Amino acid sequence: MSSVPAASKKGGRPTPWVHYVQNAVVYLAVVVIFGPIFWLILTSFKTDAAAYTLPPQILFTPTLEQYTSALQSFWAPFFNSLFIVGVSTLICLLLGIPAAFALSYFHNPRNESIVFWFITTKALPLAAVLTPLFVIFRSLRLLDTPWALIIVFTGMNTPIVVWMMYQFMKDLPRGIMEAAQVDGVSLFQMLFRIIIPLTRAGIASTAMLCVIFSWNEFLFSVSFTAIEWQPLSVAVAAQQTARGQFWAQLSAFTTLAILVPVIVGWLTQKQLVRGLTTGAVK
Amino acid sequence: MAISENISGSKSVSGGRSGSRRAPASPGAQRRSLLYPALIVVALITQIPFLLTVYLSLQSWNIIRPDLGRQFVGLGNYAREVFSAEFGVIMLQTLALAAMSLVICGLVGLGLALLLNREFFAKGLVQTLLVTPFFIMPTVTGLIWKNELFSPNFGLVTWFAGLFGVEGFNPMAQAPLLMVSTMVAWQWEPLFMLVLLAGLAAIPEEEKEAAQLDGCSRFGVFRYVELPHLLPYYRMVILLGSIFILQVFGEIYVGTAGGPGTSSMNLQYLTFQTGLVGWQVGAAAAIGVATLILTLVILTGLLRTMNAVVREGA
Repeated sequence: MSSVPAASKKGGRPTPWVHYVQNAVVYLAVVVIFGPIFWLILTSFKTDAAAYTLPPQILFTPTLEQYTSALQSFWAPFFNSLFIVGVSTLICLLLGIPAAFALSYFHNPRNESIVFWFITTKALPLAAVLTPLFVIFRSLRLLDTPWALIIVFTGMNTPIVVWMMYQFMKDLPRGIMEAAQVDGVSLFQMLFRIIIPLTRAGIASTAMLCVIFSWNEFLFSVSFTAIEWQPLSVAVAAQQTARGQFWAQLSAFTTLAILVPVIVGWLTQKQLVRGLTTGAVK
Repeated sequence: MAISENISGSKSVSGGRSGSRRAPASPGAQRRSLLYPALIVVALITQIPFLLTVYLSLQSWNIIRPDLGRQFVGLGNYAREVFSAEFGVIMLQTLALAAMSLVICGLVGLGLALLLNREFFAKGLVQTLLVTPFFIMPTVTGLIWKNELFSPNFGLVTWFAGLFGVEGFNPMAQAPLLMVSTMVAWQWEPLFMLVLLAGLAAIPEEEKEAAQLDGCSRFGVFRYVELPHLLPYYRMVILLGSIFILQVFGEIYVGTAGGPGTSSMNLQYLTFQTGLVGWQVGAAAAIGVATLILTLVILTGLLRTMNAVVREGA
């Protein structure tokens, strides 16, 4: 990408044409980076014949026929994903928020290293726990049930909740909490009446990150589910084998599959960075 | 790193539990009762299976051949699976894949961050669109690359290459590892861009102005003001990115299925292939243990190097 030299010409007051060149580079980057997603969505409104036409057609009569057939195989994995992701995210928040509160509210010399320990669990490669988890779930008869994935997603995302919420809660002014303490507020009230309402935006972005990560997770999903409880990420891979010949229909299915994480991501992208960077950068 | 932390962590878990029941009012007990559920659950789900991995890695066990039984083979799995030419090659591929992806992410992310750190028409929309790949499923990325862009028959890029007279353009088969790297870079570039943008936005405007008054060119401002400020952000995003990029899976599964042959496999894929396709539980566990050790060595080395760079730059 040639943006660095382009930017370096800027100097103090950018001359108009440098500004326009930079704009052109940025818009070109949008075409290159967002283009594949745009084209996927465009293809989903084509007929199968139009999807294969070369040179690629930009102008065509849109049709919804691909969606009618894609939707038939969409709902089952969609509700599987919804259930697995919803339940696991809820459990992560229920476990992670009190833990983050405890770590940020009570003084303890070990708090920092406990937060760090939570993060180190993320460095554990999934490959290192894949086989035993499979063996455990197999003997507990949890394979191809939602519970296997709910359990592993809880383990994967609770550390993220603890870490991000710890950063958000640490930033709260201590005066508020001390004032509440003087008023004799119980710990429970402190958490639910003061801390949670004050960190609402942080909780939302943390929850959204959990949703995105678990919605898109693939290794455990493909290993621990089969036909019955297949989530969407696995369904996409299965559809690609089954309907590789019907690219337009596959595009419609895929567009439906990415809808939830993309919308969720668009809504929370600003908060996301704050949660990830605060505290990590010293 | 994770293991030693875990040992001290789990000790405190067992040590403090009874205390929280005895005296629910003391702050220490309150802290524990809020903290321990998360701590115990995460330790159970992430650490106990790992101990089982170590145990399984010492056995020969084919899960769909119960007639062969389970035998203790000591370090046999390690000798056969880990210290083999195939493992060595796939390990190097894992590293090359991560390195290529990180370099692309680091450069493209920086370029985009610099371009976005100014005012221009439709900036909000542009940023939103550029971030979008981060929210796409890895399996969908594989699908987009394999079908939409690089399909030998109807791929967009293939067609475009054809316009320039390139015959037999099929990079998914010819340069599979590079193609997987571009997929991974496409997915993770938004994170780099957002974090570096946050870093650029945190630089006080006066510092840049002062540098300009001292006669710095735009490049000078970047080199002496912006880059040193960005180093801690780079450290953070490279570490975070490495954790995920070292264990890419969905892109490979759909995009290349590890092939042709094993030429685009990484260790994560090899573990899956051995354990859940070949059903060699013991062998897969041994590969898993080796993957963990390798990951920790790389992350520790990376952290040390970057800490040194940040110290020097600051």
